[in-house]
Amino acid sequence: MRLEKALYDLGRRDRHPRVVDGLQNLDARALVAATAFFILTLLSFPKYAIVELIPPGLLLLILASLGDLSASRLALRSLPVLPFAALLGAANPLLDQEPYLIFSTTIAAGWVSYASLLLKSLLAAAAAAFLVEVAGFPGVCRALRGLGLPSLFVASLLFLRRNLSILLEEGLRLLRTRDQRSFGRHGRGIGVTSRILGVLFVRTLDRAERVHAAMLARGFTGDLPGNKPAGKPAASWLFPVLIAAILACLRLVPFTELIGGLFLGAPP
Amino acid sequence: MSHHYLAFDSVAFAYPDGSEALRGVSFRITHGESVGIVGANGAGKSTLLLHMNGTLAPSSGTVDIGGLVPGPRTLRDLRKRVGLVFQNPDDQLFMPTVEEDVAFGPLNLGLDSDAVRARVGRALAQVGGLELAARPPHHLSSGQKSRIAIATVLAMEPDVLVLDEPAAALDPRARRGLIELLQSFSHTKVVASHDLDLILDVCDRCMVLREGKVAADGPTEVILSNRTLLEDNGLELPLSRQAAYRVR
Repeated sequence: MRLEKALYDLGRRDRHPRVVDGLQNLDARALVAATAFFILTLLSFPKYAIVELIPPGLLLLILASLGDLSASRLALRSLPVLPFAALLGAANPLLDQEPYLIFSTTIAAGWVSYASLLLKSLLAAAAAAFLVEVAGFPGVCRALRGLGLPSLFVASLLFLRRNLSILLEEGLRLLRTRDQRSFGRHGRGIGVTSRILGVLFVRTLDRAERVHAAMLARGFTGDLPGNKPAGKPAASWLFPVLIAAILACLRLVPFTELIGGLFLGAPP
Repeated sequence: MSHHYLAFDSVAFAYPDGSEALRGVSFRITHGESVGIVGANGAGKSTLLLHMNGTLAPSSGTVDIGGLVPGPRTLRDLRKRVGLVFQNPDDQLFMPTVEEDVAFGPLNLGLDSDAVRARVGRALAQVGGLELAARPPHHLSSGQKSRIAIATVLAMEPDVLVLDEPAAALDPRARRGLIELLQSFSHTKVVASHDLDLILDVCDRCMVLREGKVAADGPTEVILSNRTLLEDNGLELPLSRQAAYRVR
């Protein structure tokens, strides 16, 4: 059922992007630009920043709350990046042994930079998930093409998505047929599963080849000339400008320190 | 337009695993003909069709499509001239919306956006799919997918329409709708199918393939009424003819 839900969800989001008041009619390129500003701002924070990342996170939550997008859903959509980020920064605590004082306890600074990296990755993934939820994946691809990204890159993204749905469909068919003929633990062991994965790979490859043949039959030469964003109001561009201004404020003004100072008094 | 013929001369083809799918196939299909290709499973029908637009190249023999010999330099013109509708519409439809899918071919031909829009409108209108324009293709019914798959090819305004099992997985009403649609086209048509009644309704000429060779070629009425010929080739009389046979 989880695979069925994933497949259904993949198609549903493309058919019905999230309705987020005020953002729905914006040019997708403006949404992509705002997301890029958000991610660049995250990257610009110092490597030990943790508390400072809370205001950009709150901004994202406020934008999400304009529609029917819950914080838990955004968090769920951004979780897949966690293993990669965790792997990327795994050596930080070992490499950076500088003492770092936190809540009256001294720890290796590497742990703080590691936590900061994980938080930045999650927030960046949540922003990307928000973008896809609002604009739809094809809309994002069209926007990227409209912003001048190479056609080959955009075509690869689109077909990665298409092949993902093919993979899920084939996987679903294989699991259904396995379930019809497996009882209890019999037929569900790791031996059968690994062989099914092999078959799944071959079937997906075969199907992708057939799709490619159909594309070639209609003159495909590697470019997707239709990937241009639909015309939207020029006022759309006010949105990324506004977001960039807010992010600049959040980056340059130490809000968390100011708020902390209000409650705890100025640091000695 | 007067040059759109398909001429196969002693065409043979073997897949990389060594299995021979075509063994010296020769025929000529001329302007305006409607030809059915029938045969048992594995007879070489789909392989034959894939040679008609250069998707596969023969191991030996020659393919001549209106004066074009399939090759890297002629593929673009060839695919503009011969529209191939694949067996499984899910393989044929890959863009996010029906409209974009139908526009895919014309855009690749380098047409401007007005011309593309006009072609998409005409192709969708021809198959009765205008109201589906904004829908994602992979969430249509089988009948709708089949019609849109044909529209994606019609939008390229080919001289020759080649269809591989167009009625597979269609319910009776969708199948009837497809037959009427195919009857309404004036293109040269090549239709491979196990649905012999569809071939009877749509095609004037019929070829029977057996083990990669042409076992029979002639008027559909004659070929599909020959019970011995059909049974020798792993086929049966069309259902409509079986009823007539029983009455006699």
